[in-house]
Amino acid sequence: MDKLEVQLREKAIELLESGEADVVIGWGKSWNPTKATPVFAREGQEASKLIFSPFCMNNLAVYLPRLREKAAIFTKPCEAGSIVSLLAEGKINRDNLYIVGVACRGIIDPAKLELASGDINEATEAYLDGADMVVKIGDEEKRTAFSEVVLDQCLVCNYHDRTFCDEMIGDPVQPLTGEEKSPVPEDADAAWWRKFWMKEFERCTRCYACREACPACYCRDSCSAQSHREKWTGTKQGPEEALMFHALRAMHVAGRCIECGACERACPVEIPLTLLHKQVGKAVKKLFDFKAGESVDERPPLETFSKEELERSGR
Amino acid sequence: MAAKVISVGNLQAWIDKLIENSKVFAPMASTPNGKSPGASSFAQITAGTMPELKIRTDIPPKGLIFKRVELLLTYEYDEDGLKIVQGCGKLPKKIIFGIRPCDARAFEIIDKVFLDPAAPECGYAAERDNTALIMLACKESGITCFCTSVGGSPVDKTGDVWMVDLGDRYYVEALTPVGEELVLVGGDLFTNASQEDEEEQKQAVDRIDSASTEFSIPSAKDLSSLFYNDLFWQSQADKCLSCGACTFLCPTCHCFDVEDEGSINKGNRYRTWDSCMFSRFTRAAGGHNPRVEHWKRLRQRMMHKFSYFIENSGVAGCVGCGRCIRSCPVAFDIREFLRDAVAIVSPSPIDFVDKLPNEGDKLRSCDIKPKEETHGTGGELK
Ligand code: SF4
Ligand code: SF4
Ligand code: SF4
Repeated sequence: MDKLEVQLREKAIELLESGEADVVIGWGKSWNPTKATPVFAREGQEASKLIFSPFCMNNLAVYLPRLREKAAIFTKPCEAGSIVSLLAEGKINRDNLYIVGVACRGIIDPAKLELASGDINEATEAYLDGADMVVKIGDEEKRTAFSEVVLDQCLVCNYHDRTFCDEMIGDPVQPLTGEEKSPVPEDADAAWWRKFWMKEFERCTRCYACREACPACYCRDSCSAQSHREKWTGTKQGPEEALMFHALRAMHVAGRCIECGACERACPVEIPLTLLHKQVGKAVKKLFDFKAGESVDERPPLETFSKEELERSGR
Repeated sequence: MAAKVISVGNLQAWIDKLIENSKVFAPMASTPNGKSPGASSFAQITAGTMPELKIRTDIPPKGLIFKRVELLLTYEYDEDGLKIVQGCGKLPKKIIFGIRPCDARAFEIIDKVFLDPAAPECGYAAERDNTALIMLACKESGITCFCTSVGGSPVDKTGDVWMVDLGDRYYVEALTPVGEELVLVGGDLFTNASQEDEEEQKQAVDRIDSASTEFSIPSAKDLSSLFYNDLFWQSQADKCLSCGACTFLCPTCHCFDVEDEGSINKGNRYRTWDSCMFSRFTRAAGGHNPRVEHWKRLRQRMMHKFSYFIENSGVAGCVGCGRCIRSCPVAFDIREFLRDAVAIVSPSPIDFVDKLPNEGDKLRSCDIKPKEETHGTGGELK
């Protein structure tokens, strides 16, 4: 067990025993070595399940709005950003929350890892070895530079070891450098995007895993996409209907989306949703000079109808 | 019909012959989009395309028969009254080629609901009637496979044709008259299986049969005794997001919704996929919802598969394909759930396997013949 994990577990036990928290939310090992699973520790002994690794890819902030207990949460900069955004909108109560920041070196992009190493669902071992990610599938061992298989957003993340938190654990980390890989051409226009999404959304199952995994999608069961009264998306299935749902979702999380990519990683059919949300993020930045997850004091744009915002968007 | 063999080299020619008369769907890898690998599925193939038979597809073939959206009826109200048209005509022939035993068995489980003599669904019955299954026995089980724990086997014979990969050739056995026809289409591409082929087939089957993992699951009755153990379900469901990834990728999940689309005068009624993981699935008119909490929905999914379905239909509502394990965004592992449940109650000897329908009593057609009916005297709708 590495030093960080010892620190994590000790911290969790301390928080539970002191009564600072009724539940500690972190990550633990799952059935598969390339993905961690959320852990809810309510007793000291459950703290022994806690880990931290580049496979801790869920954005745990998703659980906060529905939680009724006093909680402590381990956060990567992604969770921290989501928490800031939720606080800015008054969706969670800061008094019931203890935030422990974890120094994060970068998180694996399962899509990249799969392209680099094969069907990671069949992996029997996966670990960081220096600057390399090693994955064992069957008798084969695949070694890839870590920077090649981390999330794009980790390559440009400025928050590796200073996140919004009550305390920080873990040694300072070196930010990663590498190149973002995007299938989007420089001159992509509306027609290009439409074609791209119509093909991708062909396989959307409308399982709403993207929505349920997203901390910004706090409407959950009340999502207008499933409304029986106003049929924003029709009964028939197909890329058009899926596009309608995703456009609706992208607009609703505009100004709240911190581009963590949890939606994309949740998608069982691997639709690269982050491309959509990054695009919307760019527009929000340009129109409203706003970036989600930066300040608890600034309310996001598009909260309510505002004439000024309408004019800014060029209508 | 005697068992046959077909060489790997002749397989494409057989498939191409099948394509002449039917739409053929087979496992195909996804086409990466430059960012993610996408998802493999059963896609329609054209002549000359070799299916990727090694792939255990991410997306099951369920939707080829149990359609996402099925038109149940159309209605029209005018001066003559209310006209309802329901039922469906004949559908073009379809073959699902290279379907794995778990996925094929899943259709027999869905049959229990949609071919129930009391209320068969016409569209499903028609699709089932027109779709032949050419199965491929598994050569090895995957990490998340547990078919043998829920009454299945990697070498089950469920569809119309059964194939076993023998390396340079396939052992092929027709299981039904439909299957015999499909083999006959191949003509001399096949040769009769020799003694040696039979031996090798048996060895291959033995090898894989013993290679798969198996564990005990709780009995339907014992599991139902866990129903009121709220704490158990709550802790199981702590991390569950209540998305529909597990249900929509499950080859046996078949919960549905019925929706009308159109106006009061004219429209369609559809049966669509739904998920017990969604809040709206159980929200009643008036707003009451017995399953607001996430954990109650997870409990429903587990109880339905491993308790109610066994009690109602004599078979578990799970074929152990492992897709829900692979697709869950928070890595919920249904095997772990079963083990946790067994730790509290007791394991069950698998007592439900025999209850799948025998070839003879399979219900494969539908009572609802296309029909039109007219009600009332018509007039202006208020
Ligand atoms: S929309 Fe996707 S990228 Fe944006 S906050 Fe939600 S999960 Fe993260
Ligand atoms: S998670 Fe993927 S398949 Fe499910 S609704 Fe979202 S985009 Fe569609
Ligand atoms: S419940 Fe899971 S393992 Fe069982 S049939 Fe469905 S997807 Fe497969």
